[in-house]
Amino acid sequence: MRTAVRITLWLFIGYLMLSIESPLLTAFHVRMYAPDPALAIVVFSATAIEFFPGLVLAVLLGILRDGFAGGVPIGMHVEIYVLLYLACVALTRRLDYRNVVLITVVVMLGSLLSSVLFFVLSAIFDRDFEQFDLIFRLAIPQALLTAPMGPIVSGLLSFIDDKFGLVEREGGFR
Amino acid sequence: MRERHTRLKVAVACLVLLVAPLFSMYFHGRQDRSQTLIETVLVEVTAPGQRVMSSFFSNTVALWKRYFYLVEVEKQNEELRKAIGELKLSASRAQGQEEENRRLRAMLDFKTEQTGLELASAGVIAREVSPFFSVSRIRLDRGGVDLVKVNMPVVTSTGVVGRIEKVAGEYCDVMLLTDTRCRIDVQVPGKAVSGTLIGMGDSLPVFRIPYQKTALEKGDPLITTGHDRMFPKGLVVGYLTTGEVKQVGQHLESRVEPAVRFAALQEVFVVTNESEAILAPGSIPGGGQK
Repeated sequence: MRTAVRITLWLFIGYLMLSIESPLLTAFHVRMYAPDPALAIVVFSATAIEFFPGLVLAVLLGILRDGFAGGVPIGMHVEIYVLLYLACVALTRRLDYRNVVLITVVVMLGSLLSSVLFFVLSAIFDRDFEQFDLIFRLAIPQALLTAPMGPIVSGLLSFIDDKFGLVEREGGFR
Repeated sequence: MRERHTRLKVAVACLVLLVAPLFSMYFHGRQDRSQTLIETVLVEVTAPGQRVMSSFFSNTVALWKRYFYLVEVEKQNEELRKAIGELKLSASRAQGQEEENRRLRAMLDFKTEQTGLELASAGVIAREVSPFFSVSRIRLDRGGVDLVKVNMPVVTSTGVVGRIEKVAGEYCDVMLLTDTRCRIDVQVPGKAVSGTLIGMGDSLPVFRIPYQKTALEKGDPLITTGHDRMFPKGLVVGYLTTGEVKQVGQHLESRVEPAVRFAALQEVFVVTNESEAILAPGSIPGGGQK
């Protein structure tokens, strides 16, 4: 039950962040450089939540992201986030990245991996997509912009966990 | 056995969750298809959030722009206020210059008309003001070096001011016709009434005539006769404030409004020489009317 509340809350946070993102970036005329807060949540969830709930969260965030993204075939971000989540779970067995520097690096690498996957999946499934060069041109700036979302999102989610007493074991952000 | 079962569950779940999106992408990536239910649901789920946030940010940005606009407007207001202040000052100066121009032109006309008088222009540099705020004496920037001497008449284009009382270097003091020591022989032109204008200090000067039957009227001008051998003949001194005369002993008296407003004096003429002390009756300065 507690895990379900956590997932719901995190999903809601992801929904809010994705809702804010588009008008905020439009207002500041930087639409092309959109960080991906949902990706940061997926990366953090791999270290802070059990496997299956985390996987479900990745799927739901992916669906939400597809909804907000608009032009991509539905399932694109689900695929990306699930793969990223599995990669992060594998990484957590070797490296505990629950600190500011490491999670920043992991989120940045995750964003780069996401761009590569986006390119591959677009090339295979999106028959309308033609701007492949744009993906690689914006991959690094987007990774650099998404990287700070790692500590921000982690801090925020840990704060919510603490505030609502949703964590029993050590799973917070340091 | 149980651990193996769990691993199998994980593998199957992962496989399903990895393959299902691929099918979804394959299906939704096709061009010849209609909108699916999941697409409709996703739009309906995400659109409200975006609309609220978009509205929030548009309002915030509009407020922010409005704030900057107001700051800019305030700045412009300040600049305009400053410009208005400068323009007012400039207009005030122009008005002053126009007034000065008008005054100087009147004096120039006066000087041109008074061919029988040698006039030296002088500027008023100080006024001695009585406790009742009336001017009792003025100081001019002309003195002995300018051939100004004691008792020389001081006039303007509108009338008689007074006479020189003291001369010191480059300056001189003028006794105004309102001074109690001042006496000027005057007449009412066209009515054969002659008398003396007597200064009364802070009160209006008095026109004193020997007892006689007179038909004086309010506004009648008083002009110098030249009999006192001090003021040239024919200069306006003032105007009767009333047609009624008051008997004082053997004399009749009436109040006189001086032709010159002493408080506003800026420039005057000192009559330095009088070659022809007779002025034509029609050449009364100021047209003989107040």
